[in-house]
Amino acid sequence: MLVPNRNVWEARIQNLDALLTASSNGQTEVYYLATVCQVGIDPPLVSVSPNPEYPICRTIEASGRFGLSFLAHDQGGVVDRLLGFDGSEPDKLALLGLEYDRTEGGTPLFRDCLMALECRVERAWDSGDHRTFIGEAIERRVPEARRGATPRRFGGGRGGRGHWARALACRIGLIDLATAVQHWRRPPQSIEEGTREYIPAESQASAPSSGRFRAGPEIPGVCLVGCGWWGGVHALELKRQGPRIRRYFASRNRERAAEFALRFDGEDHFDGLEAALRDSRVDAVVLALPHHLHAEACISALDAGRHVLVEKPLALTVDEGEAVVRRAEDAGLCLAVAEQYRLSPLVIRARELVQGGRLGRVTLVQAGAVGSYRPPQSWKQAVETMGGGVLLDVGIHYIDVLRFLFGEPERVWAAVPPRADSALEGEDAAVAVLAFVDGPVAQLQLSWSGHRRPGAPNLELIGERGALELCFGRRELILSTPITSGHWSNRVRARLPWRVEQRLSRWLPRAHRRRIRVPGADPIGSGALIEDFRLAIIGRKAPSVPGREGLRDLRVLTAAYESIARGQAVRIEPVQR
Amino acid sequence: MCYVLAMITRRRGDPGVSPYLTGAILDNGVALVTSAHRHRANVMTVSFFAESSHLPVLVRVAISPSCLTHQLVSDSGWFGLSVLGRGQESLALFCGMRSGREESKFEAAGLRIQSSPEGVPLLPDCLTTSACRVVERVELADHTLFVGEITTSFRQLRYSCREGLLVSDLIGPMTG
Repeated sequence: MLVPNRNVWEARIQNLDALLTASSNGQTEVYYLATVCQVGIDPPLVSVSPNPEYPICRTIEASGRFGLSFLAHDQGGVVDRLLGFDGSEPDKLALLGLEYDRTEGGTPLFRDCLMALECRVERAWDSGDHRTFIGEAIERRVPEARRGATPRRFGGGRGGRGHWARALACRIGLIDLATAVQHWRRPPQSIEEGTREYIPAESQASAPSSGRFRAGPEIPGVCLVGCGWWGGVHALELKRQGPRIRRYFASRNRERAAEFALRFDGEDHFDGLEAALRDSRVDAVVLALPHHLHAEACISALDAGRHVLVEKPLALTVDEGEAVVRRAEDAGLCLAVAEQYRLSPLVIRARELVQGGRLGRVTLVQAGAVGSYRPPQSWKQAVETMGGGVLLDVGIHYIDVLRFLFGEPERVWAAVPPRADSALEGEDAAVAVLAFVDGPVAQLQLSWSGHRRPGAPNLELIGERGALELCFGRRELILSTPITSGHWSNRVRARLPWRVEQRLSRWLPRAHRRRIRVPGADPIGSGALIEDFRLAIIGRKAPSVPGREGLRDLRVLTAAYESIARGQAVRIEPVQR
Repeated sequence: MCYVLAMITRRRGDPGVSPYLTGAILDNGVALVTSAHRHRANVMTVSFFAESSHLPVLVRVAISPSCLTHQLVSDSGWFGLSVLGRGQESLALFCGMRSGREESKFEAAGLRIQSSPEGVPLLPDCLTTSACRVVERVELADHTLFVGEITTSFRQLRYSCREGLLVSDLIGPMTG
């Protein structure tokens, strides 16, 4: 009986168990993997694909070499011990308790293994959620004690408790029957959706960790500064963290801060940022303040030694933003920018589809929001405190998402129509066109004053092989791909007289339209944003949107405003990485 | 792998020549790669394959440019990967030692074929069989690395307790 595979492990494309090792600058890393394969004979090339969130990748890149020690069938205990360690554990090699030798290049190779190789890295690139390294094998060792032994297969291979019972059940058809019942009760999902259930959400959401900073305590004290409307969204997500963080609230309006502390399980409240920074229980701050206060508040918090998650924009000018980022880097503290759309499971899934080539080369993008936002009130109506209009307040999110999907734009052109809302000093509608380096041209439409069909997509990606729609109000993506010439509807069309075809055309599909369900109750990523910040401040990972990324968003935004002022397209300086 | 296997059979008594026996080849699982394009189809044995990514589900396969399969995969942009189990040694050797340019290996080996929705020939009598869309292609010295996204994947329940076939099952211990 042939049944669909429910996850990547059922496809059995993993091979032999091996330990990947690398050493650089006094740091030695070891990583378990079953995804080694040879990719060339002359020269002998070997490929491995570790998870880029683990420090092994950085160590391999720094040293330019990696070691592979293939395990024998009875070395399952080594795998179990290694899998029990935390990924960031600095001394895994010593904890593992295995003896090893170093090659001339400094790569550790285990003595007790089936075979060991040292490889010099020839190529490396990101492939899906892993990083693939190709290395030329430059040294091979076969320990005498294990010569001729059986290699260890992924999962341990045959044997183990209950193997013969399973084999018998398989032979007499019990497995077939059980699987048929299981499929009847729960129809098999796609291999990708099934795999997704086993991958931690934080791992799906996070970009590879790129830097380290001084970590805070395991249960950090986080103070929300600014108890306005959007501050309430952050407060709710902070409350959802439960006992994993201690919550504090600060506002110039002390009563408002006290109310937030009561509603969102706060330990204490303060009358403003300065008071919060004086309290040693506060390890980090979430700044949800009027835009003109962002840079100053960030610098105060960083100077006081606190990690910072600041609402977008990072600052009102690029110079201010640069100063904030430098201050965080000098202090070794975490500076994250609240670009939560990047952490939305919808955006992450869309990015996977784009990078996986499902749409082919993406050429055009339509993005933006019309009439779907709360109209600006109080400080958002004044340019002095707001810094701009809808382009700044909403557009920067889409600029960030587009950069996340397609890299850096090289040119931007923007224009604004006459204002419809007289109470607003900034623009209430805008259009921006961004041209990406070797990527698509994206059109951004933003309006607080216009009306558009509810449920219209916020992002539409048009590629050579299909189009993808994303709407933040829905929990699904819609993928449209063209039907092939041999599709039944095209064959029917070809046989019908033109008049008949016109009448029947609404029933004859022209494209495959597939709904890709994206599970999760956090479509805009506001919960993932707080979790991402928590993991960053306890030192588990770098923030997904660090200050530098927020600064790049600000550069693009500033160029868009410059384009409006000059009435022509503006070139954006390439990013120095 | 086909020409390497041929080298093994031809020169088994001369361990100085065969890369399998001199340690120039790593032990690994064994699979059949199927491909089809414009009324031509082929199947070949590979051992240069591994998983590349969980999400999206990617698998990489290295194929020599001299193979017919290389041409068919390049032209169609799709390939099928069917993992072999123990007990299928003769099938692995058969598909690895003949050229698809001279005969239809599907017919000669008596392989049952099931087409995926995308038209990729899948082999239901293997441990697992998957249809993969090529998303990346990397040219290397003597092989081309195709990275494919698995779009359709099945397993044969009858073989769910069977171990995968290794190269060392075909030719004996590779570290001996």
